Amino acid sequence: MVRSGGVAGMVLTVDVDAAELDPDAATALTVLVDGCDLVDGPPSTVADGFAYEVTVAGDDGSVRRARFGQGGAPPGADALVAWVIDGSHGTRRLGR
Amino acid sequence: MARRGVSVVSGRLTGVSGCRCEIAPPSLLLAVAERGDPRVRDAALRTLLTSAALRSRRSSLGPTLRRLGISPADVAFLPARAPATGPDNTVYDMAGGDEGSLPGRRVRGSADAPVADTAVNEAFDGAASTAAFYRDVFGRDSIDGRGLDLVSSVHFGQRYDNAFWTGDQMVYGDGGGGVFAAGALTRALDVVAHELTHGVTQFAAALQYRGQSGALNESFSDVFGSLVAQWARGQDARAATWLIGEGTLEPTLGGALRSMIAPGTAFSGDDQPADMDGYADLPVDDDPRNDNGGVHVNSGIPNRAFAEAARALGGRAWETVGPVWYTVLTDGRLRPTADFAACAALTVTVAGERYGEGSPQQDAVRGGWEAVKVRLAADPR
Repeated sequence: MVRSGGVAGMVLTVDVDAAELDPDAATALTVLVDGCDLVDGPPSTVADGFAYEVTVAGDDGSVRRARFGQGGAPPGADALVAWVIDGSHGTRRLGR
Repeated sequence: MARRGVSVVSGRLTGVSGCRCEIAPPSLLLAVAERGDPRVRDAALRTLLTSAALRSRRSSLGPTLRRLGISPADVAFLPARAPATGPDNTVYDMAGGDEGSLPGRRVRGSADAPVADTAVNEAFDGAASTAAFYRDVFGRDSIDGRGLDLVSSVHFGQRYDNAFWTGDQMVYGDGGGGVFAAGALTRALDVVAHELTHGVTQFAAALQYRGQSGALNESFSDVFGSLVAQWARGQDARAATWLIGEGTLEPTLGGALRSMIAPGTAFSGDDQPADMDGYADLPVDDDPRNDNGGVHVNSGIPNRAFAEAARALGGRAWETVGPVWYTVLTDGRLRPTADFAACAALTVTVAGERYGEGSPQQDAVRGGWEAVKVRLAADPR
């Protein structure tokens, strides 16, 4: 997941591998991904709004990706973003 | 252009005459505005907004405008009713809610004493200081120049690491989400003023938020964010750090969001270029990594041009170079699609108009742009 913009203008990338999560967290992530409609949404309409990219790579080699701005998340994406960005799972990197 | 069913031409409501519906209740007018045919919608919306403006202050229109997808700048034809006491300053508590629940619960107004919530008081004071700066230094009546009330909402979202201007109000998260220190977003006056200056830009030059015009948009916010903080401290340009958001980041990330005098040095991973040699030619697309064509990246270039000019002159930057940048932002000559070269040329022109051709101030402005390698027309001397 990539988040950019905001007043800081930083690019934050969070990578979460479900195989490395504890069972409860893996289940929670699976539920959130399954409940997320991964389609592009409108960009943020405000200066310093966030922009997001969510990419889900499946075990079968499939890759789904959605890009949207703050306030324009497709159904289910807000919850997934909150779990990944605000949670303590995965690895985080700042930079383009 | 149609937005959420409201007929708008070139960002302004289309004029429809002959329909005055003062006796219709607002709820009915709103329903008509949202669902009627275009001509009826326009008439209903115009009546709704005009009557609301006449019976109350324009700040009360914010939620209605947002619901209809309209910016306050689109309804500039409405009468401004700022009293002699200045714009109202009101803070709301979002209690963790998101865009759908703006502005939240009213917790402090202009005449109210400070409350127990630090974020509320900081948002209140930051908005007041920023408005006072624009009024006392440049004679500007609030954000829109016409007395727009100051509305701030705090405690937006959960550990939300951002503050932003919606087009009619300020919104602050609590931070603590891994980038900002908890409580930092309302504490930093330059961050507050940065965001409110996005409002000034919206009502003035309306710089498009993409590519070089977007980087200028960001830079004007940093310039006036820094000036508000320097003004509040009574600080000389040579004593200023020229850091934006100093102390707001999680300490492990670095000391500030941006350095205006030394772009690229504010935090670990700061990739702002210090001059045009390092210009990041990023595409304007929907890839979040590209930042709308580098609006937060290349803003370091005009930022440094301003800081170099202010430092060269010394003294109070809000009285030396600040007025030049303010005139450029607000007097109508800077186009919404302006690039760095156009903005630079205009600052040199304005400095000449204000201080005289060949004056030290004009030389300092020219020197600032030369330091960042933005091309200027040859000095005629």
